[in-house]
Amino acid sequence: MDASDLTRFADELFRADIDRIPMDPLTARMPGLTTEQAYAVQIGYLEKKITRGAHVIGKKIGLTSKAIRDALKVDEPDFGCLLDTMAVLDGGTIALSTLIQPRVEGEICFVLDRDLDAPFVTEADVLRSTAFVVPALEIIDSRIRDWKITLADTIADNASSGMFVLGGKKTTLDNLDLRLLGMAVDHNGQLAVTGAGAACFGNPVTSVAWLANKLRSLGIVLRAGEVILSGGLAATVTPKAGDWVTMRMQTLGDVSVRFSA
Amino acid sequence: MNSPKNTDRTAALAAALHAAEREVREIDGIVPAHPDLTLDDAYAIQRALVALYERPVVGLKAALTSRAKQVAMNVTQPGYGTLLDFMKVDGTLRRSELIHPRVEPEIALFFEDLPTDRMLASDEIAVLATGFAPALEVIDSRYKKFKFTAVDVYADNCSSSRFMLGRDVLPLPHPQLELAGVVLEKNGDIVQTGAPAAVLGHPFTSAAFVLNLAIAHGVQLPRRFVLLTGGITEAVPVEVGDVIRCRFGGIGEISLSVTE
Repeated sequence: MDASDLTRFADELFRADIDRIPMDPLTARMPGLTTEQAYAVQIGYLEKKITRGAHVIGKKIGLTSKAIRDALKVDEPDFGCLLDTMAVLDGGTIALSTLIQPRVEGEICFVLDRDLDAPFVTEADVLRSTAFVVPALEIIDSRIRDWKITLADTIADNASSGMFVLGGKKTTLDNLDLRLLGMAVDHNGQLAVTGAGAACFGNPVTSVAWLANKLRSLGIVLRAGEVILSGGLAATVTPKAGDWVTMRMQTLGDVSVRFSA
Repeated sequence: MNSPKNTDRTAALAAALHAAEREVREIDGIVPAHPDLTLDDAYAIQRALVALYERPVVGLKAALTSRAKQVAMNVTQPGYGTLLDFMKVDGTLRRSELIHPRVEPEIALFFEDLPTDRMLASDEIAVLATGFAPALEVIDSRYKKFKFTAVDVYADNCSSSRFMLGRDVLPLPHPQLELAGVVLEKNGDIVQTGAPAAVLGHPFTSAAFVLNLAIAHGVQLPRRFVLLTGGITEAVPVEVGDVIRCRFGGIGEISLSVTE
């Protein structure tokens, strides 16, 4: 395994994303692919998008559900980068033809107004640096065929990110315990799944603190202005053309998206 | 369906379910041997089973309130079970009395002098209920491996076994009750989260449906009774030594310890 392998993987992911044709797991060809190497592939994959005009506007945290970490046999979350090209406005429409095998989940999005640059970032730092939170829908997608991912595969694939939608109501974290806010996702107006904030790494605030420290270990600082999708709060739903999906969250409000062919 | 032969069969199946519960042993589903049983027959068996206990009825529980469970059971509506006084526990669950218990969080509603001469609408429940509380229900199917059809489970009193109510009864209406966060921990690990919207969209919808059905069936309810509105998350299996703690955002919390 050398740098050219990592470059090749980044090229293949970029091509799979452009062509909407999924690829075999990277780890099928390179079982020893480490987490560090996978993040290097992710950076290479994103640099290709940035070269073509995309801008990083935030981060997403994945694998925040203990059940999913247990299934993948990993003990910590992972992260990917949010690009401006992934954003859709609340109530907007996403063409399924622009994605491969999307799934939708409800999350809490943090918007920072201070850098999280402490040597070790605690929950207190996250609370102090968060301007407000908004409800969010993340449309995850995988460039890996049939979602047959291991930890290294999803990290390389930008943490299986696709698109995201932010709600239009801002809520500050003063006196708010995100762990005990309930949420419901409706699929075509029918209740699909419910969850609560604690489903995300015990507390979405802890999830963001984990991200800040993970990034510090890689020499990156979470900056004021970034939007951070803190992790899914319930099982995903799978959209079809003509569907709409709404998340309602206690206190935070709601957010919705439509899907076309 | 009320022939002497069917009455005998109803009594025999009720007796078998009663014995299984009293003797803490699982039995085969009843449908394979009696494929002609209807849902009405199942409720007749439930009534006969409940009568065998000779204990006061204290309330009702809603069952099959999630779409996933309804699809799995091939039904389009929820059902109900009957709660008896001995099912109520206070902080401790005795494992040796149960077959393969599972715990699920619910919203309990309290009623007093409920009108029984007309259909109830879900938007009346906030006014008709005297209050609500967080609750844990312990379900314990008498069937092997918790495997059953809708007819099996209705006959088995909808797996009713034990229940525990939170300490405080809260007043209604309660803003965004359907979106209160429910976080269930087992031995300190978060194992389930959800919100009361999981029961037919709102506990009041579940309540109105179950009350109308039970009243139509002629179930005799006491003047004051409790209604468990349906499981908010998947039910969690418990064993001796387990401690279940469930927090309900803005409502309260309950803990239940499992002993021998």
